[in-house]
Amino acid sequence: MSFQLKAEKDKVMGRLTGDMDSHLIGRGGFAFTGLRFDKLGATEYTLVTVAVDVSGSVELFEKELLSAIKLAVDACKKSPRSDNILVRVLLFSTKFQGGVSELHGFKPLTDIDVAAYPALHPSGSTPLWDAVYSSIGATNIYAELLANQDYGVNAITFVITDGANNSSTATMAMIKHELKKAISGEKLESMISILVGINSAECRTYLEEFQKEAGMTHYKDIGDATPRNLAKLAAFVSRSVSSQSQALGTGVPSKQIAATI
Amino acid sequence: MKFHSDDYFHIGHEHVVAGKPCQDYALSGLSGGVAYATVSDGCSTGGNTDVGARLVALSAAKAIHTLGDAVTGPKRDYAVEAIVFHQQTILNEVKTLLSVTRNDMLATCLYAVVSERGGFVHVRGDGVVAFVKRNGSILLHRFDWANNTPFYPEYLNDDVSSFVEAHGGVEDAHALTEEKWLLTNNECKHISTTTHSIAHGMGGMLIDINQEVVKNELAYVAVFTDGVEAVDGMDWKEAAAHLLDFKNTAGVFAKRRMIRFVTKEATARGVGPSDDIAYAAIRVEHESQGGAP
Repeated sequence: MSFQLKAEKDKVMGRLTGDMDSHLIGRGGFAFTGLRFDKLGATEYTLVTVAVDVSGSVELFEKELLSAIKLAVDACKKSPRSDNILVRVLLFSTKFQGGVSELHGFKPLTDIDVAAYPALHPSGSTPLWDAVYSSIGATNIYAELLANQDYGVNAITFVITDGANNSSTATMAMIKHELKKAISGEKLESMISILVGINSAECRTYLEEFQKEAGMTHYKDIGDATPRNLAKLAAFVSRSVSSQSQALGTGVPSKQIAATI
Repeated sequence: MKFHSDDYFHIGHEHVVAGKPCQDYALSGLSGGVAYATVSDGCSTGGNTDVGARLVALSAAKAIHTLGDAVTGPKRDYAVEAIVFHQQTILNEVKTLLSVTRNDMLATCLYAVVSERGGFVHVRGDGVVAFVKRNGSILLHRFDWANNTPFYPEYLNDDVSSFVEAHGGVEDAHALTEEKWLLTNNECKHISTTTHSIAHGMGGMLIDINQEVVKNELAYVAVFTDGVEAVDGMDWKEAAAHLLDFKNTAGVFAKRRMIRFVTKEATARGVGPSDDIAYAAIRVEHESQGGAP
């Protein structure tokens, strides 16, 4: 049973699942998990989301992509701010009920064992909008809950895809609404959302237009899915996470996000 | 029953604009079965009292660590004397080692100690003590010396006569005022106002915390420097209540609360804390909340 079906079944905000609480995002059946607040001892956190396209076309570089995700998350552990980072990793493909499936919800880096990340098994089409909506929506909700508990919060989100949206429940209006909320500064001190294109030469124009129309902060194209480029992607993610976390408390997003990967 | 502690301090607006350091300090911790919370407020017209405040708080903590479980034994007066003696011994050594002067050491000392056997709060100087009950009510004690001239323990190493002189020259004169207030959901009730003699105040004000109160009623004990009384546009009782309104008790609960208080709630009324502010709190986790029996 997929995560989303479980959340649908529960229909309860904040249902307790061990140390993780599950939460619904809006009324569209999207859900996410995050560590219980009584387990969060610091004063402030950067929420990091890495959403990864696992549609069929990713199959050609499946292993390299998984390695890059592992490398990126593991590299965040070396950040001087690692104790103040909570990471959520989700996969997206139409093979999942609702388009997205969490590898894990927002949790501290010390609780994440990247060696336990399963093989991606790419298949299906690309519900890109669902992935963006889930990423930003979950960040907004968890950030609001954290802020209400006195934590300082900012966020950075990466959505990595090799193709255009072709099957989503979420609409452009839903995405725009969440992104607008994210940058309003009411709960999240600052938010950076990055759309990353990989092997995406054919749909680069589409992705650039989508990024602008939706209101995402950046579009980055890493070019072909070579091991070298994927390693660069991993380094870019960990560097950007560390930089955005160091910006927490300044009231503005990090200015140190590299122009190119 | 389990005990948790946390502390935080923040520079006041007046110190920022005047280029002064934060002269308040807070410290808390656990030593065996005893939890402690201490704050110190350095005199703004003294010497390097930012250093003095830290030394006073650190030495109080060290004295409590040294004495261990004995500090919450049945003989409160003995425990207080022992803490003061050990603290002074430590300070004498440190002052010599670091060539710290008398003027550097002009700092208050408020501390609370709590264990399953009960506890107490000892106030040497001015500031506020808060007891938060499990039913949410807050009992506040405010200690205020006349003429904005608080007692500093360092005076006892020197000639106390100038301090007594500043208050009229008679040790029996009442120069220390203690206000008690009870805050509940519905009201802010004045309980009493009592004055104490200079001699009494110099010995330090002792508030006993009964074993049964710890066991059945107490949720938090907190000590504040008088910075809590100088939050722009906010009554001191309201400021204290804000700082005790912990949204989440995990980890650095007091630090989170004060950061949010300073950056949001206080600055919504004005410049925020105009004087340096420090507080330290002990949380009592009862069995029903997960604290081991």
